[in-house]
Amino acid sequence: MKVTKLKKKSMNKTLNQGLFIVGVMILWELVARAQWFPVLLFPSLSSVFVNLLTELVNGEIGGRLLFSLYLIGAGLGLAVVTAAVTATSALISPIISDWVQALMAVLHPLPGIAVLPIIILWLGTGPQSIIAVIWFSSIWPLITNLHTGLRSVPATQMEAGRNLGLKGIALIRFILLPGAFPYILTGLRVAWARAWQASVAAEMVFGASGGEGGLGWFIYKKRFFMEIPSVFGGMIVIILVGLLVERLCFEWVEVRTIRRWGMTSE
Amino acid sequence: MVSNNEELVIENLDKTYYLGERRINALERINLQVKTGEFINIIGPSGCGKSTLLRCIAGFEKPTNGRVKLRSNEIKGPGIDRMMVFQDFEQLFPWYTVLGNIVFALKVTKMIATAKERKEIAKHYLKMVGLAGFEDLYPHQLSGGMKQRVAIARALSVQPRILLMDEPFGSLDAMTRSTLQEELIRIWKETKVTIIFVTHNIEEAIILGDQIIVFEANPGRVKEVIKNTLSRPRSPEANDFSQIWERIHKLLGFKNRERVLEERNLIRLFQEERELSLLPHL
Amino acid sequence: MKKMFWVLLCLVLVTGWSFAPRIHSAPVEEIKIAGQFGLVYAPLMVAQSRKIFEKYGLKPVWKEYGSGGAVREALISGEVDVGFMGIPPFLIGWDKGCQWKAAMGFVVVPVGLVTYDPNIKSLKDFKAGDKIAVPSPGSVQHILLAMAAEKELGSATALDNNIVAMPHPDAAAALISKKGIKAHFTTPPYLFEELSQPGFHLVVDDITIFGHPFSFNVGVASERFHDRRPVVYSSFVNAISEAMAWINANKKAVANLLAPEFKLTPEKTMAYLTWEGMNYTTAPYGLMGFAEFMQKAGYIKKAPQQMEEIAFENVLAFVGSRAGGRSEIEKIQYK
Repeated sequence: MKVTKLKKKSMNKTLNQGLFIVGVMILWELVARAQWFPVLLFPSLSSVFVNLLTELVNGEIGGRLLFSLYLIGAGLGLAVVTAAVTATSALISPIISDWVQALMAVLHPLPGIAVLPIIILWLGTGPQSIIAVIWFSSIWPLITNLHTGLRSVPATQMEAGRNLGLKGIALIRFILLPGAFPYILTGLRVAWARAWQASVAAEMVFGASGGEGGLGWFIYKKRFFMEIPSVFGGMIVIILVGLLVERLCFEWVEVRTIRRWGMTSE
Repeated sequence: MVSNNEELVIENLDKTYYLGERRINALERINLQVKTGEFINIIGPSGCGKSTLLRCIAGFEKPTNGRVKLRSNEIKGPGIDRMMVFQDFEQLFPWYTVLGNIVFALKVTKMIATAKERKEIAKHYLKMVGLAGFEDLYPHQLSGGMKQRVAIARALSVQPRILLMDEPFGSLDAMTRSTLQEELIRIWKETKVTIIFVTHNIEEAIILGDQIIVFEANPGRVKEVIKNTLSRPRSPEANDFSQIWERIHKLLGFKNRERVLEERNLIRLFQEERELSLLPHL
Repeated sequence: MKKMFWVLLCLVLVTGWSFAPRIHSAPVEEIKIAGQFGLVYAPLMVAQSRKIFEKYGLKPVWKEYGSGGAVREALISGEVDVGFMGIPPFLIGWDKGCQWKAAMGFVVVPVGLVTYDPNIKSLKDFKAGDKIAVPSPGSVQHILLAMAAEKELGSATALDNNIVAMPHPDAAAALISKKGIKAHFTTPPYLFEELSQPGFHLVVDDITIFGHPFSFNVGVASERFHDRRPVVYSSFVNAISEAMAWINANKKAVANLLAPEFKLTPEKTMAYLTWEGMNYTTAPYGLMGFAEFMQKAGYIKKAPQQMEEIAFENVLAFVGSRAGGRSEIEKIQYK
């Protein structure tokens, strides 16, 4: 009984939200068609979608998207490795733990994009600099969550593991990592969102290079050629990819792990 | 088969902590012998070091002086010959199912080679603690009592020589507690495992133990060892039951206010000590 | 307290005095002008400091933007009345339906592609990974590069994968430190600064590419502004003309005036102002040439058939329309 009621409630919510989005889209189309604002600045939604379709068919958006994903994959991958090494060393050595905490406090509030000028000076322009910005943007949520997560594992579980003869790497692998998984997942989620933002922002502030740009560069270029429907198209793709990854990847994992294990705070 | 039946010998064990400048003797000159298959109960006021003693036996902590010997071998660290069941409901691994928790124990201890066998053995122990049919549930879906049953099954599955139980029923309601006490006795008889059981509940100590070791606090010392020869099943209504009860109650004594504060400090200290002691093992 | 009184009295007197002449002047019309920072904008800075706009009954409101794209967006949204931008960004807007036209030429400056790499002598020498910095896609520099690429390499987009978009100061810093980019398509003063580095040289310049000088920037006004406020429009054109004439007649004074703004010595400012090819003029150069190329290369869909499609009457009158073939000034509108 209760379960069906809950299900119904969430269905209603989805329906409600879907209707709202459709409503906004219709309103957009109407306002655009009424031409209260210059068409150049406020294109109709239909023209945006027609444009998007063309760019999908001719492969332009796909290529840019793949490149963005490659940059994010590289930056995020590096950040995960760095965060794992840092958090593990912090776990073993209290001195390193102090250092990491100091670093986190100082650097966490600094938006990745703010370090771009320095990164350009050190690494030059191009994909390596954007990867570096993504790395810098996503590493702090990863370290913070890993750091807290590893410490959140109950001492009793650690001792239960030690009782079974686990120590060192095995203890980390079998007890600490699964125990910290809710935090790790949160860290990855935030890091992914930040990585997206950083990649788009970095490309738009400093435009990457023509042939090697991702979606940020796509939007940037379209802006300068005043192809505003394409600018909206780029935004829509970014939103869709963000939603897709959130729903398909993170939620899929969450349902199969921490929700099944009852390790969520809800 | 075994020439002497001394399972566990504790010789002149001291455990000292420092609280700032102050030195605290959590345990002082503890000497104990436990025979194979015995059911020992340790009872005492909080802060008397009874848990610390259990943790020294488990190998989670090192004695300041003296030693713990398991069948003449000095204990250097944790091992599956001494399995601990904690009071804490969080001792199960939430990411494994009930069955998975036990299979995992069997797997990492390399007790059993094949996955199929591990599953069978795990099921056997779950049946022993009365949880057949609950294999596929996750710990968060279990009640407190069921969690403790799984913990007992997991501990027994690796066939320890000694089962160390640190107030395992301390957080349960009275009904569940008394059911589990009965079942524990049944399991003890069935497996013939040696059990050292820490409690602060006098009734529990009398119902369970062959020997009741009464501790006093600050410094933590053995005050008296009481042989409990009441016939099983033991009922609190029996006359001789209340005699022992009165005796232990008297030994434990009343606490004044200062003593309570002191104990709180100690508990906090032990907690910190425990957390710190995790780090070097990684 | 006594001191305070004197300070207050002085303040009252000074403000009273500065407001006084207003009473006698004509009604003041506000005009919002979009510009960017740089040597190119010297006429605006001169007009501002010499209060030339005020003389024509205008009250200028300055808005400074970071890129031509931003200036263009400000104009479209109606945030500003007039703005200055390169011919290509202006044409891209016109192609997309912006109701605007060129109100004047603004400045002719040397533009060039600078590199530090001795092996790069022509566009053919750029390899796949060699980055060429331009201020933004669709900028004058980008289109010039495309023109040069078409001429030398056979395709306007041949170097599109080599370009990176960077603001001038960042690109200049990167080029001088030889980090990240191989070449920079730039304008004064960055052009002068980069060329003064040992070993830095031009790969190609504007004259070679375009055939003759062209307006680096033009003044752009919306048709709405032009039609509804004709007096303000013409006052604005006249004020800029006066500022330019003054610059050309008083380079030394201009150098002294602008040096602190650019954080340069007056001598260096003077050298920049009088660099060969610098020409502050309201005459338009190359309007149609850019349009034809950009349409052919696909940067815009339609090209203007007549100049009146993209220029206001003062510009048209200035260029004229010679019977029996193009005059000299008509010819320089084309490539």
